[in-house]
Amino acid sequence: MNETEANFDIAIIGGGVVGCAIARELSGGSLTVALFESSSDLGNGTSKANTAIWHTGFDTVPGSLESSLVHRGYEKLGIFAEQTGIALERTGAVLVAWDEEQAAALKNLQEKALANGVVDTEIISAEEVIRREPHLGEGVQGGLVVPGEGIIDPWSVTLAFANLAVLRGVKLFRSTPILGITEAQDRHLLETHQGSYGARWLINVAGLYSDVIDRMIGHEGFTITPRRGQLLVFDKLARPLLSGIVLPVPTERTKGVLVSPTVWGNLLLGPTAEDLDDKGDTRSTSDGVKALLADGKRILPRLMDYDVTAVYAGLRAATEHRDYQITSYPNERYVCVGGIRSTGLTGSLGIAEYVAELLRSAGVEIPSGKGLESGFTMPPLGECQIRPLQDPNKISEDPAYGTVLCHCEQVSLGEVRDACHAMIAAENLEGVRRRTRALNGRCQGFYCGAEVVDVVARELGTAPESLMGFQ
Amino acid sequence: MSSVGENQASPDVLIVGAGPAGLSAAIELKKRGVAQVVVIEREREAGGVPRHCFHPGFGLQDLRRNLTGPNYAQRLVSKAQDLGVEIATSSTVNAIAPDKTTRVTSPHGILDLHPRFVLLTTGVRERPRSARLVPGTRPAGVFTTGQLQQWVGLKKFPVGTRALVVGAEHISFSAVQTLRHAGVSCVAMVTDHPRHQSLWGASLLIRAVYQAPLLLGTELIEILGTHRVEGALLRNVASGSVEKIDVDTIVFTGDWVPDAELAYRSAIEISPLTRGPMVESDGRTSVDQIFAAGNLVQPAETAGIAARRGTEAAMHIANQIYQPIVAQRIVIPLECDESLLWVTPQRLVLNEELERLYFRTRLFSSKKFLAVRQGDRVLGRYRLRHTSPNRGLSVPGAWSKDVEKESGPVRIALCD
Ligand SMILES: Cc1cc2nc3c(=O)[nH]c(=O)nc-3n(C[C@H](O)[C@H](O)[C@H](O)COP(=O)(O)OP(=O)(O)OC[C@H]3O[C@@H](n4cnc5c(N)ncnc54)[C@H](O)[C@@H]3O)c2cc1C
Ligand SMILES: Cc1cc2nc3c(=O)[nH]c(=O)nc-3n(C[C@H](O)[C@H](O)[C@H](O)COP(=O)(O)OP(=O)(O)OC[C@H]3O[C@@H](n4cnc5c(N)ncnc54)[C@H](O)[C@@H]3O)c2cc1C
Repeated sequence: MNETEANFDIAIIGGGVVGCAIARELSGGSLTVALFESSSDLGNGTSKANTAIWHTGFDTVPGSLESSLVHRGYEKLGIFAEQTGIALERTGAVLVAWDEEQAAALKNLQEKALANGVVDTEIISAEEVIRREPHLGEGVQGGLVVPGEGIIDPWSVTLAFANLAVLRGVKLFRSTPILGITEAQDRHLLETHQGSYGARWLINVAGLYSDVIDRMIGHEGFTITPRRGQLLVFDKLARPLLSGIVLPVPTERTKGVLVSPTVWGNLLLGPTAEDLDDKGDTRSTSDGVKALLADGKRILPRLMDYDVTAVYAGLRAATEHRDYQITSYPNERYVCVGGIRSTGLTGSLGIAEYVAELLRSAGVEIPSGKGLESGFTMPPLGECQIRPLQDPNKISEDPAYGTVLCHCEQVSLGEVRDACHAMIAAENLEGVRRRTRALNGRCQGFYCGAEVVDVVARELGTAPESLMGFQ
Repeated sequence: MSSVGENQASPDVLIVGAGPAGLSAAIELKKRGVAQVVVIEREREAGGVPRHCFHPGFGLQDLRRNLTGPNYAQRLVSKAQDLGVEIATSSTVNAIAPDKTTRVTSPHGILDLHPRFVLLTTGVRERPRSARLVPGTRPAGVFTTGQLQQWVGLKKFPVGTRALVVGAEHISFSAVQTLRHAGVSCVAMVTDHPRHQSLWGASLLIRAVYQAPLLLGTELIEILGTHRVEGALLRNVASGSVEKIDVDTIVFTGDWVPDAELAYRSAIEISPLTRGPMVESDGRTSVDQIFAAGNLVQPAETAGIAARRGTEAAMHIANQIYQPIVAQRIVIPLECDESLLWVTPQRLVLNEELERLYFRTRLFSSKKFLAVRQGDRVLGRYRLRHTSPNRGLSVPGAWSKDVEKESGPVRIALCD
């Protein structure tokens, strides 16, 4: 194939949180940038299904690339969320030791935190743990407080990056998987269903498939083994049971599960850790659910009094290496960003900055990255924010913001309408859910399912059945 | 959409939820001469669940007519409006403060009302797939009956072609009818109980008319499919054998849970058994001047019973308005044993006669009687018409006059 549909200076493969962060970072200069995402929406891979914790990186491997990029990403994301109106709560976390072995491990964890630049942790007594989290189960031996840990809205983060990138000139291709890569003299040719695109530089941020893309270029730096994490989201009525994040103390034998609030006001229990062969296997299993419930019952017994609102699973892009796999090949005009396993949401802005540096040092003209936000904000979706239905001014401006569409999550008609017409608009119900929270609540559509489909079909100009998964 | 007027800022009674219970209560209050009765309903139309039950069988108990759900709902709405009840639709009650200040959100804005009494009649929903912890993928094509009825009856959206119905109680048979009406064939109905829990003959009817096999002692253990449901795995509870069934639609029916968020947020004491507000014999909750009735308290009854319970709560509210009492109330807890799923009311009032006692069994039982005891004394013993779980049961409350002050809680249990 010689004719190309278009040529770009830089092509980014993968529109997860990391790919979108990189797109934003590289945008706004003189170079043309394209972002290719195989799914119909951004953040539809691992970036949609994680525990949504804004990590300090206290337990990363000291001296690793991950340690420094999570540290940097943490700071940048905190500021970014504030500037763009993304829900973030500085809840703090406590690692709870349930036996002698775990209690003994706290000291080492504190030292590790220090080595990772997290200086404000504190070892506390069992009594103090219980004072902070009075609903914990029996057997608390002590804890380590990490005040900097927090929770964030992961969906809005990815979308905010993508929006800013597009506003600053990045060309976005959704539903455009890269099927193969061939080399022309001065560029890579990316094959898609719509034809081929040329790119001088290539950045591989394909998450679980970053090893596949790496092989398309002729490298074999690493192999990804998906590690599944199943999670249970509990009813918002359970939220008062916790004040902050309760983390397990990792030991040689187990990693353990956490219980955490979400910015939407639920409690989250998980994740499991299961090595799989299938990169698409985001099923929940009865063994997984059973194991989580057993842990939940032990950690926070009263959680069992509440219904589960959602069950989901995400796949970590684990490799045979412990660190992020970020490598620049200047001669091939290729940067590989793989193995972003379990901290990529927090690390995204740190990773993006690092990739920009790698490109600069290869002589690519990347803008400074200053003033990227320029007053752009995301819709307020967090419980700590003022939602449209709570805002008299917004309602008097437009009564659609006072018309409740999804009762459980308190989503207005106006928000759903906006999500269907946004610059990076939802293209299906999943997209609407992530942009508005509609249908994500405890009734799962008992009350509003038909009405939401009606509104979304109308706003998108499609038939309702096309929203119901028939291909 | 209609909104709350300026002059209704301090109604005598504010009712949250315009279903059969709320509307019947409003009608009763008006009949008893209560001046300002306001009903707040979050949907665009008043009427509650019957609005989307497009089949007859409604109104038999309370209106003495056999109506379809929507006709029944419309009649209750008209009757209430004719009597001067104010019904505000597209209006959600978000919170009730301890002083009864009630926050209402609507397209007109956010409004605070100051009622004297509040009646909560916010109804129930069915537990969706997630709350039942059914594992597997997360494809489209998974419904609850309530969602399906709105889908088919109100929106006329296409559903699918082959459906599995989970559950075998009254509502499950309604779901089969709705599927049939939408041109979907019901491939099977499953229940983990040894028998269905609806009326005698229901399974024969399903088999004869809808050709759907009823699989007893069977549970759904996994949902299959990527974008759309492509099948389901069923397990026979006794033998453990697993079979794959080829369906593109799954309807979860029954397994009721009250829509009690407002009650929780208003600091009302919640029953761990019903998950709805705890009530005394007259319908009052743990918070002064707030009452609750209908399916919110009894998950779930027929519309007729919900309506009747609304009417009864209204009588008690009217009594309180006219005779703001009086003597100290002595409250005795009412509890049930493990054989029962729930009982309501959860509190008896000494020297106040209880109309009826409502409860549910947990499993089918060979014990056909209900015993009411306080300490060692048997206050009453009633023969039950059935012991089907998920199906309404009630007995008269005449024994309540024999309840004593110092003898501890009253307990009910199945017995031989
Ligand atoms: C259970 C779990 C819990 C986690 N908890 C946290 C946490 O609390 N905090 C935290 O910071 N991180 C957490 N993480 C990690 C975080 O979610 C990931 O590190 C992050 O989402 C990775 O983002 P990504 O952009 O690299 O990958 P992805 O989100 O997977 O994005 C890769 C994208 O590439 C696309 N793609 C793949 N192949 C192609 C192709 N051929 N052509 C075009 N596009 C392609 C995919 O569709 C996908 O959208 C967790 C992860 C899991 C699984
Ligand atoms: C799917 C389904 C099918 C049924 N089929 C039958 C049948 O065939 N025959 C039969 O006899 N019974 C049937 N029932 C039972 C019957 O519909 C109910 O018993 C009856 O509707 C209960 O009345 P209610 O007033 O207690 O609650 P509902 O009818 O549920 O009314 C509650 C109302 O409160 C409103 N509301 C809730 N929260 C708020 C808030 N915060 N602010 C404002 N408004 C609020 C809701 O929108 C709703 O309109 C069925 C029930 C369901 C769920």
